[in-house]
Amino acid sequence: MRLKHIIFGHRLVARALVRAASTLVSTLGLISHCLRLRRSVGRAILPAAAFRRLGCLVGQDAILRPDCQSVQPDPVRPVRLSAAIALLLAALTLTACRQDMHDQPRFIPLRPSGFFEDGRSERPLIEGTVARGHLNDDLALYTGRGPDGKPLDTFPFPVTKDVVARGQERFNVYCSPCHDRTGNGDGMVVRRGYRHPPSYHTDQIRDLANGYIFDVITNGFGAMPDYAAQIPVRDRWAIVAYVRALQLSENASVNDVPAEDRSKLGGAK
Amino acid sequence: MSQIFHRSTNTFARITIFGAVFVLAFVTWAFTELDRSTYNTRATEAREQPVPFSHAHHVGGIGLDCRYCHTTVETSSFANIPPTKTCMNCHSQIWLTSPTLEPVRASFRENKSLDWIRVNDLPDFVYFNHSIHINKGVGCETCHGRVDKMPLTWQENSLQMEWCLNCHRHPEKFVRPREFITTMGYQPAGGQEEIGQRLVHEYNIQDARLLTSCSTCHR
Ligand code: HEC
Ligand code: HEC
Ligand code: HEC
Ligand code: HEC
Ligand code: HEC
Ligand code: HEC
Repeated sequence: MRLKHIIFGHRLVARALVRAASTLVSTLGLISHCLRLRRSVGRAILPAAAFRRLGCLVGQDAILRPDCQSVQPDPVRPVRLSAAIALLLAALTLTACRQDMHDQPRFIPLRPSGFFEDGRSERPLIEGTVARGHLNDDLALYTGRGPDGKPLDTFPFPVTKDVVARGQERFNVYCSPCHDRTGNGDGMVVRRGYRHPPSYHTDQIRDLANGYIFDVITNGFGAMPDYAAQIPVRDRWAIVAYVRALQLSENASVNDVPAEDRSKLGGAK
Repeated sequence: MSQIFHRSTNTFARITIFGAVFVLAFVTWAFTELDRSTYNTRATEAREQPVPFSHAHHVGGIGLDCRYCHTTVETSSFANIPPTKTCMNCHSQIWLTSPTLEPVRASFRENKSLDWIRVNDLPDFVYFNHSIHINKGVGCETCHGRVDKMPLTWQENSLQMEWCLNCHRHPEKFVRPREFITTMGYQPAGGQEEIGQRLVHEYNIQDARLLTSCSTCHR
């Protein structure tokens, strides 16, 4: 008796086998469908470009899916056996490798766009745009200058302890890489070859107006880059306040300490 | 027709039926493990970038704060990738002639974006927000690992729902005081459990029931 007859001659056995096989395949297929394997599988098997093109061919037109043109494909991974098997299973149950809900055709921050020439989906504001409530007409606050165009030596808002604390935190983030935490100008970047900034603790810098320091942060000065894009306006003023506090701290005398606290100094003059 | 199968096949069949339960259980287990595996999530796999930017140099070496570059992380849902201008703050003066930095200089000259390859990527049907985590005391390190030791950036955790929920159920195990948000290698000054409980209270962190409700992340 031939093998064929053994298996297919016996209807019950044949039916059981077929059912078992199909159950197994669809279970595996279903599970693999639910797994996020599909994405990595597609990536692993097809060259990245082909994978993208496939998505675009099957998918919507290029205006709806501008990412079709500009998504940066991940580096292609080598074909791996497990990936190949998984693809086979996925193919068996006719599940697609598209991940439409994972990568929806909409713009989110940092996602490139093929629609605009520069590839950015985040559009820069058109020059002269003023958002409601953002007509920055408070000269003192936004330029640090008085009506006469001279740098102010006051602050546009009251300086409280919170403002100085905020200034300290921001100074340590944005200024200390060069000016170091004490304002002496020995920051880590300077030690790696950046131009040495002047110490804050000289009369020349002490005599600078608040508005001038604000302007240095906003527009840069000489070898120092500007920080307008990184630091919001109010934080810049907070930093100015902290620079003032630093200067006071390095140039203080015993007379600045309240009389009742002087004993704590241990006789220092 | 003679008997095709020997009597012993009866036992064999019974064992197979019984065993199928285990086989199925094993297959299910194997697939969930595969699903969690770093092969599937691509965690700990460093990505090639157009410029071999090294957090190890810039954070570990020079000691830059994350916010020097990722400026929006405290105020916005996403953490920005710094514009080329930020790189040029320093690289207009140091490592001027380095050929590795040529793409950065070209990008600045020609006003073209550098095309960084995304590392951490949630599916689009998940809502994630950096600012709430930062402001309620979840440090970068908790989610992104020791970035200051990454020569090329990799994703540290699986970013799977299970992982998010693990913290949303017990935030007190992870939160830290706000002033250490960007600190790498943070050590709690005392018992984490105790500090965590206090901070959960102080920062008004919501109830686990709210934090694990589906509409918090799928909205
Ligand atoms: C990348 C390094 C770097 C960073 C960061 C930096 N500076 Fe400077 N800064 C310099 C250099 C260099 C100079 C000297 C510029 C020159 O003389 O050409 C300088 C000069 C200054 C001066 C003196 C200006 C004058 O008229 O002499 C002030 C005030 C100042 N910086 C404030 C700041 C503040 C506030 C911050 C933080 C927001 C900051 N700097 C961040 C490098 C830096
Ligand atoms: C000198 C600027 C700079 C500093 C400082 C910096 N980063 Fe980055 N970061 C980048 C750049 C550029 C990229 C994009 C290239 C990459 O992924 O490596 C990036 C990428 C990342 C990514 C991956 C983004 C993605 O694609 O998913 C994470 C996470 C990250 N940074 C976290 C941090 C943390 C945490 C810190 C502070 C410990 C930090 N960074 C400090 C410039 C910086
Ligand atoms: C605060 C100053 C600063 C900023 C901002 C900065 N770097 Fe650097 N970078 C350095 C210093 C200093 C080194 C030298 C590293 C060392 O000596 O450890 C360096 C080294 C590098 C190197 C290695 C150069 C080589 O030839 O091996 C690369 C690449 C680099 N930076 C890329 C970037 C990119 C991209 C950005 C913008 C996201 C950036 N840097 C922003 C200071 C900076
Ligand atoms: C609660 C966990 C968590 C914390 C805390 C966290 N991140 Fe993230 N980060 C994520 C997740 C999740 C993503 C992926 C977001 C996505 O794909 O939409 C991400 C993405 C990023 C990116 C890529 C750009 C983006 O927003 O998609 C950068 C850069 C980044 N994080 C930097 C930081 C920095 C810097 C800090 C600390 C100040 C930080 N992260 C804190 C979880 C976290
Ligand atoms: C290490 C801890 C931790 C991890 C990991 C974490 N979260 Fe959170 N998450 C928090 C805390 C703490 C809050 C603040 C809750 C509050 O508003 O009081 C929060 C809040 C949120 C909120 C805002 C809730 C609201 O009601 O506005 C969202 C959305 C969110 N998380 C999504 C996620 C997602 C998605 C992930 C996984 C990718 C994640 N989180 C991972 C700790 C975490
Ligand atoms: C803390 C945030 C958070 C909460 C709360 C949450 N999810 Fe999720 N969910 C996620 C994240 C993150 C993913 C993406 C997982 C991944 O990429 O593997 C996800 C994925 C899923 C998926 C898988 C979709 C797929 O194809 O991979 C389903 C289904 C889902 N969530 C349902 C739910 C349900 C139902 C609830 C409420 C019981 C819930 N989620 C609550 C964060 C959350």
